[in-house]
Amino acid sequence: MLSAARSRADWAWAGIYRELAPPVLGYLRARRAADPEDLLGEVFLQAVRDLKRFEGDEDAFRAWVFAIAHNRLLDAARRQRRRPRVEPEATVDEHSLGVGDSEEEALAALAEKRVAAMIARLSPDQQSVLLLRILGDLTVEQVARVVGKRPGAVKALQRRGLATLAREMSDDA
Amino acid sequence: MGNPPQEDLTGFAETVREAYITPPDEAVEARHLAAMAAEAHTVSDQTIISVPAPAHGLKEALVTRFRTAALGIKLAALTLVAALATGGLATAGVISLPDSLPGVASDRAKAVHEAIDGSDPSAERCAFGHRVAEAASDGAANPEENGCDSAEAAAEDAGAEDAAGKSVEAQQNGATPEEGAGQAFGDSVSDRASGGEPKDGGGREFGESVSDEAQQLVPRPTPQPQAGPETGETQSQEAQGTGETHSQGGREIAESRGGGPPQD
Repeated sequence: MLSAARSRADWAWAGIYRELAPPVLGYLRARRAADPEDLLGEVFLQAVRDLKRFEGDEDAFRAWVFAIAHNRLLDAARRQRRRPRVEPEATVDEHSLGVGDSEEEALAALAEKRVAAMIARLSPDQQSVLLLRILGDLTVEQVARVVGKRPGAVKALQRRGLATLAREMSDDA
Repeated sequence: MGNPPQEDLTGFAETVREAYITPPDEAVEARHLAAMAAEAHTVSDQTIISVPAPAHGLKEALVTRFRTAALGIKLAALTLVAALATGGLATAGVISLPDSLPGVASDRAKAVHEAIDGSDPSAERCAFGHRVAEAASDGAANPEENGCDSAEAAAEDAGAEDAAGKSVEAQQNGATPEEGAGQAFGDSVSDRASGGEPKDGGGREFGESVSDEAQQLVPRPTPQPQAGPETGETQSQEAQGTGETHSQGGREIAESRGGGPPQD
């Protein structure tokens, strides 16, 4: 699919988008990006532009796209800090809440809200490491390359983040 | 703190995936895919059509090219004007242009080459040079005025004058066949004087004998001191002086021994 995308095959880019857009969008939303859909579009446009400079297989390409998303997220956060605005109240957006009002959906919404609250208690680095590991399905080494840290530091961040989550769960219990 | 329960963490990861991994809206997806397709075609066009230089460099290149062309045009016009002016003056008879300068030079070179080949430079040096010069000047050199003969005659005259001058100079210096004998006499007297022969009371005798020998050596009673050979005369004088000195010394020794001056 990558080779087809390099030869301007639209169907290849559509396949890549449908495979990678959901986890990338989930990462942006979980990191509470201001406008995750617009940021997702910028991520894939940059991937199209810079594909000629990429070398590697599809696993590496997945990590590469997440690296673009991570850097775009940091750029957006810097822009947002320079132009402060009112943060949205909700930590879980409406998209994840669904439209129904059944008991199952309500429980799911509560669970997601609880998860969002737990993530918010992690440090930004711990959020990046755990969300890239969980949503991006990246290895420790791939995460290290994305966040620009050594694998040992990534493992330490992951360990401390999981400890924080376990403490939160035990407190909730 | 303790390790977190593995089941809770696995459930947390599953909850995170279910909560956040959702595809974008169809409208958003369509908009993104269209933008990506347009970007992909733009990127490929930029890859194919490569701009060789920025606009600034292109402008400088055009200016440089224009200046070079203007300079070339000016030089060409100047050359054309000079050629037309020269041709016009030649046509009017103001100036005369050489008909075939390369041909003249070629003929001259050929004549010089023939002159060189037809002569033996080692045998007749001056005549060889004269012939080559005549060929190079296209006969401008006057064959009646043979420089070689004049030079030889002058050389002969100079040789004769030199010989005559040397003879006169030798006569003025008074050179005689006895010149070698005088020199031998001077040398022997010098050796005898420095060898200490008249040491004990014989100084006077030594001086007198040397004086006699010196007078015998010059048979002609020429009063001029400069008539003898310069070296011999000098040595004779030195020997005479040495003899007198020794004679004086011997006299003093005899006085000291005998109590009175020796009788002459």
